[in-house]
Amino acid sequence: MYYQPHYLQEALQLLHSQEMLLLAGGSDLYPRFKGYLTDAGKLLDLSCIQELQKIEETKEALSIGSMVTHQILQREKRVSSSFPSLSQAASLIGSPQIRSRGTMGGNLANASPAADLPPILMALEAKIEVASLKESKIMLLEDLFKGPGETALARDEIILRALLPPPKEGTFIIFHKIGRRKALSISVLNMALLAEISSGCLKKLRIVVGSAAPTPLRIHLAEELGEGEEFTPLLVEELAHLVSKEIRPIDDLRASARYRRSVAQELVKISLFSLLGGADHGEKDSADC
Amino acid sequence: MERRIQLTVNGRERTITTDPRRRLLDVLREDLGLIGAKEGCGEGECGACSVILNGLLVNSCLVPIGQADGSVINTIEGMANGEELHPIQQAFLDYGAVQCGYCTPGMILAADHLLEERSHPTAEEIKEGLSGNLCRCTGYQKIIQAIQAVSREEE
Repeated sequence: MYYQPHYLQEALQLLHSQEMLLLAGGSDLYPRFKGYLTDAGKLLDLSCIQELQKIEETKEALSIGSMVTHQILQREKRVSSSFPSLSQAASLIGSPQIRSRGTMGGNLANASPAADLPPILMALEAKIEVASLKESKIMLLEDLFKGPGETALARDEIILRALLPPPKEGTFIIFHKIGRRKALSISVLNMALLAEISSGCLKKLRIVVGSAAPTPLRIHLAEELGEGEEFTPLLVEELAHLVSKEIRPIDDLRASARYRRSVAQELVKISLFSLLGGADHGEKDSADC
Repeated sequence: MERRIQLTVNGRERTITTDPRRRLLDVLREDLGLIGAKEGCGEGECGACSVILNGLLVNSCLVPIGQADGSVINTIEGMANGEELHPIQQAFLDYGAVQCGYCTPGMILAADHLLEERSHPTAEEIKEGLSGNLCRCTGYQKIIQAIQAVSREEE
């Protein structure tokens, strides 16, 4: 069976009453069923629900509907002007053909450990709104991921949108993706990093690594080590070392665990050293953090 | 379960009744007899099945026909004007950008889509525009040259 509701309420009603598979852009679902969605049982197609395609700006957050495609994340001014690193991450997914169909919500709900959007959205401290027929709730995106292909979503819940708080002044956001080639590559490792720097002090740090554990991994220990400290080359070295120790990568067909640890270390260094060069460090002498 | 699906394919209105979960690629090839779009990998990696759907370049192997209802689709069959080849098709011949030909329909549609967005792309932009289309024969250089030639002609 194939349902294609035009209203969210109708979709939630359908999902409440029966077991169904959600269809967003199809770029993950078709490969999963080897091209035969006729084998996929009951399908709930979300593509006609206008509400899920909206991008809205308020004072508190930029709201991005779950059915917004990677191509729109890449090109839409309201996204790229406030969150260029999110547009950049979207531009590195798949190919033009994949980006024109694949959606943000699909990328999140699919919960691939190697997905490119979760690390950057987590570093941006995104929340998501999730709804069932009974209730809607807002949760931290990082609480969504439970394991490879596993999320905290209940059977009758749909991701409605992501909410991104506007970045504070003095905040730098960086995304890196390492793949076997440029296009159509699943990340060997990806990393998103947010750093708020003021007068030579690291006020806030978020480091999220993908393809390095069963879920996208926020490196809490590194954040605790760095926050409130003077932003120095020595600190960057320590953080990079800590991140490479904290991730839990595996050997697979794309890369070895050892390689992933060394890439993670280098990406932290590349990211933070680029900020040491460019950020406002205030006084030349040691900062009082 | 079947549904009535309306499509405008290469300017012509078509109505079919079919399972909405079937792939656009299969409907084009099996129901409409448009066999220009090819199945290579069947999972969105090779681009041989590329078509233009409502102005977007897509892999037709990843589009349920139910999501294409009411859409406007351009395939390779709609490129030539009668006997007269489209400038991109002619340039592919002139520059030897075709060998086995399996990737060619998808390549030409990706090129057409690229030139629609950017009439004078750089070599780097051409590579990016074709990054979802694999060719195992030509080494890509002649394809890039053919597209550059079309873009020069448009000046």
